[in-house]
This record gives sequence, C-alpha cells and structure tokens, in this order.
Amino acid sequence: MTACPVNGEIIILDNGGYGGATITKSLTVNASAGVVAFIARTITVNIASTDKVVLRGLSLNGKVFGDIKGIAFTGGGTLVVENSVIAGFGDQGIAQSAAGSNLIVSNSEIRNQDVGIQNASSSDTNSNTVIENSRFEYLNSYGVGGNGGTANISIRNSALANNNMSVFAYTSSQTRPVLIVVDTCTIAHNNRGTDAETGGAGASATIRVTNSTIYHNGDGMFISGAGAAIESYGNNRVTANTNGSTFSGTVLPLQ
Amino acid sequence: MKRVSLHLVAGIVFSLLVATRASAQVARVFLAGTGNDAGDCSNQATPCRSLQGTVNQCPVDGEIIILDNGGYGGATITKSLTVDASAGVVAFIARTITVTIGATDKVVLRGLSMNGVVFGDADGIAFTGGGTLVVENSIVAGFTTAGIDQVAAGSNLIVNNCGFRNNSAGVLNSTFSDTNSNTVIENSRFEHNTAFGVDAEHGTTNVSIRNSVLANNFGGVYAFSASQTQPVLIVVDTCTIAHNSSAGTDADAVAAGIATIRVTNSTVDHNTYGMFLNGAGAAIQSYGNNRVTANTNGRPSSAIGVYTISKGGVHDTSLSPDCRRICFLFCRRYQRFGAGGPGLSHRNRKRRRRLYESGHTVSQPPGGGDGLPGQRRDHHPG
Repeated sequence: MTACPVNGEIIILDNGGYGGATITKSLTVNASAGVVAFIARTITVNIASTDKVVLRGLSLNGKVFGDIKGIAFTGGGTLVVENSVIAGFGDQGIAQSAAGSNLIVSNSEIRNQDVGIQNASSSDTNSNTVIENSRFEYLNSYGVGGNGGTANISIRNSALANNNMSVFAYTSSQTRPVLIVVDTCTIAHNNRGTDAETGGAGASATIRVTNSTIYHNGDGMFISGAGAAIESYGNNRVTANTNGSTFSGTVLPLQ
Repeated sequence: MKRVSLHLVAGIVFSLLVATRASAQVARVFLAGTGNDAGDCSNQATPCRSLQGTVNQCPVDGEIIILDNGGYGGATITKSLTVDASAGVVAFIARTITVTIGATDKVVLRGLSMNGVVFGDADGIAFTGGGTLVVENSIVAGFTTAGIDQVAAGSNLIVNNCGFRNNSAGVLNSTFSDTNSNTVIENSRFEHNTAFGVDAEHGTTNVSIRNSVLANNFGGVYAFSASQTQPVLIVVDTCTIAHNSSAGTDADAVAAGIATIRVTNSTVDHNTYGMFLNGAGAAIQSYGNNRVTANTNGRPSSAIGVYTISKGGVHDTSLSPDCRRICFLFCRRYQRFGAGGPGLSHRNRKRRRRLYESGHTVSQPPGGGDGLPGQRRDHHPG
C-alpha cells in the first residue's frame, strides 16, 4: 500500500493471506478471479472527498481474529467494492460512516456477521450507497441498512436470505431522512424481510420495493413510527410470510 | 499509470498478524496438488494434498485456499469453515463431500468442480447436519442420488451460480421432518438431470429459485408432500423451465399433504407437461406474469389474484381423455425405466414408483379448492 502511487493499481499475483491495511489515497486493489486474495483483518478506507478507492476480488474472513469491521469506510470520497466476499467480522462487513461518501458494491457476498452493509454517517449530509448483484446471508442483525444519518440506498438484483432483518431503514431525526429502494431482489427466510422505523418527530424512513419477492419471512414488512413507510410499485410477490404482508399506503405508480 | 506488483515471497509486506510460523494462529490453510498432508498446511509453500487433510488442519471458521488445479478427493466436514477455490483453478472432486455440522455452524464451498460419474457415489454434497451450507460458483455433476442432498431438519442451504447436470436430482431437499428447512437457489443451471432439477419432498420446506435455468431434465421443479404437517412450498422467480421430458413444474400431494409451487416472471416452455398436478393438496399457482408456451400438456391449476381455478387432481378437466391416457402411458414407461436402473438408491426407487402411481391414479378434483366450485378458465398466458 505504501509503495503504490496515488491513483495507482495493486495487482495481487497469487493466492495468499495479505492482512489488513489503512488506505488514505486513491488507488485500486485488483485480484483477478484466478486468485484467492485472503484478508483476515480490517481494511480501513480513510480518504478525502475527491479520492476514489476500488477493491476487487478480495476474500475477507474475519472470524478467526475477530475484528469488528471488514471494511471501515471512514473518509468521504468514493469506494467501490466488487467481486469480493466479506464474512465473519464482529459487526459490519462494510461500515460506511462518512458524511457525503459514496459506496458502490457489486457482485459480492456478504455473510456471517452482525451487519452486511451499514450506511450511518450521523450527519444531515447525504451519503449514497449502490448495491448490485450481491448476496446477504445469515447476518445476525441486518443485511443492508441506513440507520443513522441521511442516506439514499439502492439495492438491485440481490438476494437477502436467512438474516435477522434484510433491509433496515431507521432515523430519529427530521433532518436525516433515509430512503432505500429495493429492485428485483429476493428477500426470504428472514425474521424481518423489510423493516422501516422512526424514532423522532418528523423523521422519515422509507423503503420502496419493486419487482421483488418477499417470501417466507417472519414479518414481510415491519413498520414502526410515524414517518416510517414500506411502499410498493404494485409489482411484487409477497407470500408465505407469517406476519406483516401489507405495504404502506397506496401503490406507487410505474412510469 | 504505474502499477505495483505484489508477491508473497519478494515484495511489500502488508500484514502485521499473518502467521509466519506454523505454530502461530492462522485464519487460512492451503491445499495444492503438490502438497503433503504430513504438514499443517499453514504455509503456502507447504500446502496439504487432500481436501480431508486440509479440513482436518483448518481452524474452526478458517479458510482453505486451493492453490492450483488438481483432484482433491471427498471429505467429511464437521465444523465451520470455508473452502475457496478461485475461478482460475479447477478444484476437482470426484467423491462425496459430507457436511455434518451443528445447528449454529456455517460451511461455505466455493469454486469446486465435482464429477461423480466414474466412482458412482450417491451424493455430490451430502448435507446431513443442521446449520448453514453455502455452495457457490461450483459445478456438481454425475452423482446418482443428488448433486446436493439436504436431509437435516432445520438446515439452511444457499446455492448461487452453480451448475447441476447429469445427476439424478440436482438439488434435493428431503428431511422427513415437520421442522422447516430452507433452500435458496440463485443464478444456477440444472441440465440433463435424470430426475428433477430441484426436488423438495418428504419434509417441511420452503424453497426459492431465482434467475435460474432448468432444462433438459426429466423434470424441472418438483414439490411433494404426504403429510399436512410437512408442507412444501417452492417459489419460482424469473426462471426458464424448458425442454424437460416430463413436467416443467410438478406438484404432488398424497393423503393430506400440501405441495405448492408459485411461479412469477418465468418462462415454462416446451415441456411435456408445463404443470403436472396430483392430489387435492397440490397446486401450481401463477402471479399472472409468466410465459407458458409450447408445452404438450398442462396449464396452470390456479393463480394468485388472477385465477380462481380449483386446485388439485391430475384430472384436469381442461385435458382431453386422450391426454389422460397419454399421462398414464408415460408414467408406465417411466416406471420401467426407473425401476430397472442399476444402482438406484432405495429412496430413488420409492420416488419413481410414486411418480408412476400418481399418473396411474386419476382422481376427480374436489369442488372449490379456493372455495369456489370447480371454476376454471380455458386459457391464460400465465
């Protein structure tokens, strides 16, 4: 990491364990599909708002050493994580905590920790998260959540199964609304498939669901607090949930 | 743009805590064709040789990294761990991998190429313990009972981006228990399996299949239940189910059993039966957004929010008498094929006999499976 130039690329040549790191500049870490780039410790990405880091092809497994976070995204700027596995950490697979940051996750497996991906900046300034073609499995708390700070999250073409909650939107502040759009996902076998909660006056926590299957959860939708909503575009499949199979309000129009 | 190359032997050291001595704690062990099981596999330069040897040396919750192409043999896994073969490696396994773990354990198998034809083992992966098993980016072929055989009550199986071909069943969930077990299948392919691509029977189960292709099998998706306390529900989402020689989707309920398949955004085409039903508790339901075409026989039995056709009965009144006779003759032919096959497991023989018997017994549908007396529609796009 130290030797990589700014905006440079680290090419991982072979299988092996490479340990954790702190990244403070723009760069790309690139492990090809033919290599197991094994990381058992936290990677901290603490970059400036104009910096961009890309992590490709990593296999993170934190179970043995018990670190809290797989990837701690603590600085602003943009982080892309793709073709990676993040498993076994004490709390979050990816913790996005910087105001104004952008996280993009593609084709990754996130499993076997408390939280998959958390967007929680504790700020009124929005942070974006885009998740695509990924899987969130057996997470003890939730798969994808915006739960402390203004957040706009989209999840597309992903499977979220066997978790406590799969999609979680929470805010206690009117100035920190959370919106999660769920598109073409399978949400199955969770205690709660989708969960929207508010904890303060004027707060807004919304999940909007399109073309998704919410199946065999304890609660398909769990809604708590004024300003909490789980809305449908009228094109979902909701079946075999024990409780909570009703979306909020009227169906959103497709255009 | 300048680039920096990273290599374990000569290069930049990242880690503070990756073990450099065999006795230090490690999170990963190595497996290679040039390895030797005499060591502890913790050093990339001295990997183990067999999968079982590496499993034995792998720490609980650790990771087995498969370094190169090779045949690694079957294994029995009794603890949480991950087996990780990259896409650049053929990690060949010709024998059964048995996963028998505790209810809180989690095993992940990535990137394996399993082919059981030569040695004739019954299961590719025998998931005989509770807990969670994830199988991804793998091929499982040529096993005589199932590619993956999920038999433990309360177990969770997750399958992603896998190919199942030339087995008897591709993925089989059969726990013989009232306690639910879950199966999630995504982005996978089921091809020329001699029984069903996905088979859920004999035990309470909830199965979802998404973004997958089930083609050229004996059957695509099969739900069977013989007990009210062991219902089977399969949700089929955005799948192509085509060219299967018997049924694309088959729901089979005997006695008070409940066997349900729900289909959304899928294409069911060019099967002998698009939908095949037997028994009062059997249903194949549509969300009204499927494409069902060019099947020789069999239309949806009922649909959620669209149809109000009563469920049940292989005697679908939309079928002509000739179709019913074809059904009977087909099942007789299958029974001869199945019963005569060498090396079939007892369970396979029972399953095939049941298929035969379900075709042989033609029953009238009860009135109002949905509370409505025998109402039906003649045609619906699905």
